[in-house]
Amino acid sequence: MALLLLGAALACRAARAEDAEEGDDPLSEHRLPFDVLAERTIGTTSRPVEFNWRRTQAHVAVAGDHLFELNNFDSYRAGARARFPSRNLLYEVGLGYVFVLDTTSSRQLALTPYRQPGRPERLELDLMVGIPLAEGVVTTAPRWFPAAELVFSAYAGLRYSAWPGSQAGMRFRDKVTGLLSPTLGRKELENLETRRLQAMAIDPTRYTVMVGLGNDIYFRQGVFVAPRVLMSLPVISAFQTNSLLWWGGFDLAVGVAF
Amino acid sequence: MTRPPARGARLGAGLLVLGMGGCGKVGFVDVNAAFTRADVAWFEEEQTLFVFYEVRADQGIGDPSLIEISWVTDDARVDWTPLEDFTPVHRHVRVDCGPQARCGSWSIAVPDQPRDVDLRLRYHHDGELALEAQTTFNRVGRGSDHTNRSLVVYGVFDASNSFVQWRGRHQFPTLRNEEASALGLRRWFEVADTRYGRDGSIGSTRNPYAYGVPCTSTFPETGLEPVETDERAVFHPTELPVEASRAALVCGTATVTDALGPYESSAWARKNPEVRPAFPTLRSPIREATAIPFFLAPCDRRIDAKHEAMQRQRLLLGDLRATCIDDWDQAGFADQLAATFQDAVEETRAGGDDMVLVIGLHRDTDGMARVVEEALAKVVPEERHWTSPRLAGAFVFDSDARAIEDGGLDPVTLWCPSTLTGGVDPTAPSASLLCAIAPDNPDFELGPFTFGTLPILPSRDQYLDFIDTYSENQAGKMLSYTLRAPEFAATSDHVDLGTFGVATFLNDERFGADARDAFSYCSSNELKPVVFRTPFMESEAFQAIVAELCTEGALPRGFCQTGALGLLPLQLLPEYHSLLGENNYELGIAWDFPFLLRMRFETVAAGSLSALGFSLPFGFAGNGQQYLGTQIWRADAIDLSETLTHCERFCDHPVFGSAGVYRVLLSFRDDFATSCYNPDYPAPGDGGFPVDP
Repeated sequence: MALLLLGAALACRAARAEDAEEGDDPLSEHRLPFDVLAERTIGTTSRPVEFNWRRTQAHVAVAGDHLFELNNFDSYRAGARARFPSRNLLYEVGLGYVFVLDTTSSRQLALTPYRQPGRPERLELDLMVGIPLAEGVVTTAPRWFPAAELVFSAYAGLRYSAWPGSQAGMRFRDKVTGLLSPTLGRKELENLETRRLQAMAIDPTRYTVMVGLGNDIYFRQGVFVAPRVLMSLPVISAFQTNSLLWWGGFDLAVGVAF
Repeated sequence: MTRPPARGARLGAGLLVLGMGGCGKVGFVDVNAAFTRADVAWFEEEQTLFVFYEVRADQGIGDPSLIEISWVTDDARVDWTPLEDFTPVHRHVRVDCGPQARCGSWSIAVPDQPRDVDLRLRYHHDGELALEAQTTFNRVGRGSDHTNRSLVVYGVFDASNSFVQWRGRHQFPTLRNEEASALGLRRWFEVADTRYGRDGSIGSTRNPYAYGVPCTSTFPETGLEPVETDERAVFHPTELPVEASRAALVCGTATVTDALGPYESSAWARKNPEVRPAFPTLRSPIREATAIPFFLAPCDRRIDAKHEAMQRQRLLLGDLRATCIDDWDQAGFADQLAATFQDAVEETRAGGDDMVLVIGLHRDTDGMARVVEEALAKVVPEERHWTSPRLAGAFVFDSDARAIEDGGLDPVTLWCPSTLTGGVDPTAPSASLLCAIAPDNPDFELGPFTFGTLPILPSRDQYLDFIDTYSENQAGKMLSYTLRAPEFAATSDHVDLGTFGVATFLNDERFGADARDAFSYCSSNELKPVVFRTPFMESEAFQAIVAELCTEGALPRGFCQTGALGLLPLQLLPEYHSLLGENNYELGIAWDFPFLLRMRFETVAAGSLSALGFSLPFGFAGNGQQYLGTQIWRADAIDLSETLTHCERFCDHPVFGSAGVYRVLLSFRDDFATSCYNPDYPAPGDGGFPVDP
């Protein structure tokens, strides 16, 4: 590092001497001041790190989500996730249970012959990949709080929804094929009839492609906080009736990196 | 000057707009609820309003939804009220019609005739929105019990005719019996004071279950305890007393309920027709007949040694000395040959078995065959009806294909190979047709390869042509053959059916019947060549009647053809008995050929490779089997247990079908003469909801 800095300073000094000797230098537009060169060199050869998450083996976190399904039901998710960092990516496995609640609007809707697409309470399994886009050391407020490592990432992955008890009364072979089907079958929809909210038309989509952005804030001790916004891509649901198309969610995870 | 936006930027902006448009709130969907049934019936005599409904929707209708009813009478107006708010007259169980439907029933006490009866679905008990139904309303006024009440009670018996099952049957103008049950309606009824009687004439087409017909007080009491249920059927746990064995009927006091309280009427149970196989098995001992071999050939010259060897091998004659037919054109040769046959028959008869002449005919002129035919005609037909041991027939393996020309010889002789056409009567069935060969036997050629097969009983031309291409080794060989013929008893009686064959009454196989009995004939895929006759059918009076009716065209052609001979096919027995009611029937077997030849042989799928002027034959051998003659003699017995059913008692009573349905308007006597009778009876422990559409 020192040799690089020295080399850059010498090169800059030599360039300036030549400028003094030659008043009309054709290379003048390509010349840069030393401090600029130094800044660039430092930026590519070193990374200020408060907590090096890449050197950790695994992250464990609890998470809470608020889903925005753009219907009249309230959906909240609680769960846990495990993350496994690599040099450039962050692999994540998450498991959560979604609680679905009526609202005043949905209760009113239940009094009418109309229903609104939604999904009953369920288990969700996430398989996500995080791609760090920007990261660095940041100061915090209040000032007495220690500095932290901030990683801004893009996320993409698959969310698999499972409704416990929905396969009651089905043959083993049908259960297996049903679990792999992108949508709920007729028998599964029948079984969920008693579990849906009164104003709900069940969205039969089982797989959802999710994309989003998130900030991971790592503290020196390994504790991290990860707020994230995810949005669904209606790859499968676009071909289904009673489906939610565009929906998303805000989630916040708190965990520890080992 | 500003630069136009790049294509990628424009595409991105478009997608953003589309995406934002799709990010709007999720819309509502209509559940498309609709009534598929909204039936209401008011029974004046019961003062009860029955409601049946079924609503379907895309999304399903949950527990918060309600079915409401309203009506008007001359004295009051009942506004929209949930059905469950009325105290039901009868029990109604909750029905699961699936996730996309809601259905059920209800019964309400309504003393006065209702008008403007309407049903509707309130989507939610807390909501105001509702879906009105197009209600079907029927009013059933006062009248007979069996027509104007909503429940009929009747009885049936189990297979042993000793246990009574009492059944309730819903009667609604727009609803079937089982539909009412399926929609949750349960009617309580009780049957008590049961009695039994012998008179079988009860019920009518207007009241087939005889519900409400008073129970005869002079009938003896059964002593059975009362039974009750609110399902649709209940068995008496104990069987009828043995004194009731002859009784055709059981009646009892049936109590049902309505809005006014208990209501009593009479219910009847009729015993099932008592049936059994009329003649379970017709046995005919089949024995192996003794072959009497002959090889007829010119002795002064040799026609073809290879062909002769093949003929001897096919008939397994070995070195049997040939019977010379050089003088076939001399006068009296046929008589000499017949005498030779007859001597051999008499010599073999001592063995005690039936016999068949097995003749290899090696000849090159058709005249020789005609002489042999003439000689056989003098010996074979005469004996075929004799008591065993007898000469049953003849099997001739000729040198060339021909058809028998003697009409008397054709029914008893298997002449092979034969032509497909010609003979005595080209339209009549002939056993020899089974070994007919085509005039040509083309090979299949594929480049230098040639493929072909040879029938086991070929003509000389066929054989020589075949071995010229494929060699003698590929011609196949006879492994064994057997001849089977029926043993005729001393009392066997034969009726000649002309070109159809012979009917033989083997050994006094007969059964009796009462004039009031009834029969059912059940056709099957298996051929049952059985005929029957009665003493009356052999009388001149019967023949005269048949002749007259057949002349007038009043009888079917088949009836006329056999009736004139004093016998009829077994399938006509039920109708014959219903018309004439005779009490003695004799069964016989109709057959068209006197013996069965079974051959086991080796056959070869032959091939030949021809190249450079040389021919290399090859082949693939396999075992074959063939029957010639008639298949009737393959088995010793003809199973008639499911073919002819004999009803001895209660033949006019309703019957159970093969699916267990009580067919109250059918009777064994009237409806099963030409149909299969396979009843499936109820049994104690079957449950309370029999199949009763």
